[in-house]
Amino acid sequence: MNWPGRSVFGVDATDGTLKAVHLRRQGQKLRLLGSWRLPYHRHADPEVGAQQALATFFATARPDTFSRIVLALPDAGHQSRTYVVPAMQAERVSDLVRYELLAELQTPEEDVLLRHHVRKGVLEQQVHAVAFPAARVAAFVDGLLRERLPFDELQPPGFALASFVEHQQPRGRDRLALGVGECATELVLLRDDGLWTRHLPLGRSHVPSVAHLAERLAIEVEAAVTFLLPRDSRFQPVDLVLTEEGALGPALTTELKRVMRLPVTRFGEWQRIAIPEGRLAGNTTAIETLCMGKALGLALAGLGRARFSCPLVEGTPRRAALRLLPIAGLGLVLSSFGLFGVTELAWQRERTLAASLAGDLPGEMTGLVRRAEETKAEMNASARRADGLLALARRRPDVLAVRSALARLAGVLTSRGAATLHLDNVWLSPGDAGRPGRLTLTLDADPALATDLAARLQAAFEGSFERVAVGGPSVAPDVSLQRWTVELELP
Amino acid sequence: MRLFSILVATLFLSAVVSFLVAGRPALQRSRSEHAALLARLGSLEHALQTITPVSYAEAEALREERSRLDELGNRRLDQLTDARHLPPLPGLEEALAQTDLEALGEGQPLRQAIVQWARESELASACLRRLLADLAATGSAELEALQRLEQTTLQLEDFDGIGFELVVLGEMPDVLDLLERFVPGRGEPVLSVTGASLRRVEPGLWSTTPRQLASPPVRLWVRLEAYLRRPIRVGGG
Repeated sequence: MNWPGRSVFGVDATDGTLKAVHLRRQGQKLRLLGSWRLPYHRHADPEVGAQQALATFFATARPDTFSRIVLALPDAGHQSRTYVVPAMQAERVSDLVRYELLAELQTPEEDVLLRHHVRKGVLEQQVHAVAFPAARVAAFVDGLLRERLPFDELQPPGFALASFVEHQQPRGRDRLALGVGECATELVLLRDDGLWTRHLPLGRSHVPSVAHLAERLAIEVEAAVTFLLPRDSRFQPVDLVLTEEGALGPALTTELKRVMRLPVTRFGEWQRIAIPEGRLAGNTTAIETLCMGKALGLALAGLGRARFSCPLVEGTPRRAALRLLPIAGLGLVLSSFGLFGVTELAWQRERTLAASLAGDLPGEMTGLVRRAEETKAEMNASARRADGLLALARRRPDVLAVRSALARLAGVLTSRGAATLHLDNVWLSPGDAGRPGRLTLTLDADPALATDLAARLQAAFEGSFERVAVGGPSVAPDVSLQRWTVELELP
Repeated sequence: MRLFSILVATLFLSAVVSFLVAGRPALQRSRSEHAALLARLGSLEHALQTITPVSYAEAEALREERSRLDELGNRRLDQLTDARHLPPLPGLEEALAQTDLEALGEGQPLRQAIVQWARESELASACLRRLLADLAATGSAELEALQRLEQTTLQLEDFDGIGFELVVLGEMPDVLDLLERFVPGRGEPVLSVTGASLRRVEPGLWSTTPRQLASPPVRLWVRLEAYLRRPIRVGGG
């Protein structure tokens, strides 16, 4: 499949022979894909013959939808002018061209098809204008549509010939180009400041000899120069470019050199157009390259490489629409994927939103807080229970501490000598939660022991109990004795 | 070209159908879900104004701490009530028959009171049987008084408790031995002393060596509590 705008068929069927080339643009390079040549000048009705040749060509070449088809519009009766105007807006140029041409031709606007091509300059611009009989254009287009012959645009064959010459040999000087066909000749006067074209109903099949044809052509050229070009400057062509069927043989070249006294140029090998080796599409031979000037110019116009491009009629809308098919298809594919994506995103968003803060989250949070409070309360109750059981269990060492305290006291008792020392009472107060147990010993001692009894008692119990407090002496119930107390804090 | 057109058309048609069938309803549902989410968000904000949220980790930590404390309490309870190495308590009648204490002789008021208290509850019965067994195990101790107390100092959820106050006369080793029998860790009922006093009876006869502490009689006053594990109430609150 060709990418739209990169492949062009240039087809010329205006001079008794259909000539067509298929060009493809690859970057900045042009590549010839095929060329066709179908003579129809022997047909009784040249217009019908041209349509049949076109039908045969399209049936043979089968151009695809994406290849642009540029046809040459038969330019019999057309008028060509060049105006040099100051730089101005495009709308004003159109108005100027219409005014000037209509005034010059003295023809109602609805009877002519006016088109122009602008070559812009810094201070002034050249406007190459053409006027075609509207009725002929309409009849030609109707014939194409009736025969279902595809085309994308119609170009003037003279402009195509001029573009071909400029493409092959851009010189920028006065030149003369002749496209001599079997039934007609296209005359192009090229000057640095202008372009003039003229259709000559004179071809190779109309005259008995080449010499006669050359003389007739010389006369027509002189007349055209006189009629078309402004008289304030001279037209001095440096050469004569010969193409179409007249260029196939050397005879016309020789005669034209002789008659017009100008060097004649034929393009047997094309410049800046790659011709791949091997068999090309079409039915032409290498020598027939000499006669493909206008077809190649039309193809250059379709590729945007023509110096003089002047689309006269746009092609069938169906082809334009079909050419948009890749873009439209791409758009549809993208739209399809977009719709699929939107669908998937909608699903995901729905699932995400449904999953966000799903369920009764406030209720769940409240329940969680309530359960945490309940757990805290249960934890406190468990802690109280464990503490209570611990407090109960700690009463065991408190009770057993009595024997330990008595054993410590025994050391003091053994060292009392003959002095009296009684243990009057042992009071046990086991500990409770947060409160240590206490053991209180009440002693009645001889006053003779008072000097160091406190220290001895203190030393006896220290290390085994958390805190030891020895109190006394005080008055004992037995007045001959002194009362001492030892308060022990149980571990 | 025709195949390409058909493929593109099919793809586009399927996309349109899928969007109409699934995507568009999903969009509508997502709009309603968005509105519902906003409503849930509002109620969540309202709830956050009234409560301080608790994370699942915090709640789990609280549950673990509660379990740890429960386990700690259970271990302490098992240690307190472990009676694997102790002989079973005798029955009340058997204990009374074995005792030779004067205060508990036939017809004595204290004996009648003990029988009466033992009838009131299993806890009192178990406590009295333990007391009688411990008194019987100490040779010279003589029960002078036994009085029941109304309240206990510890309120334990695992136990029912009862208090007693008793006065025993005996030699120092015997009363010390008796006192040291009133400690937790000797099976049920769990006994614990809440207050005790050892007072010599005859100060003039106080000995000079610890061994001879046994010579004079000693008056032991002890206030103790007995705890018996509460029966498990199946299905109870």
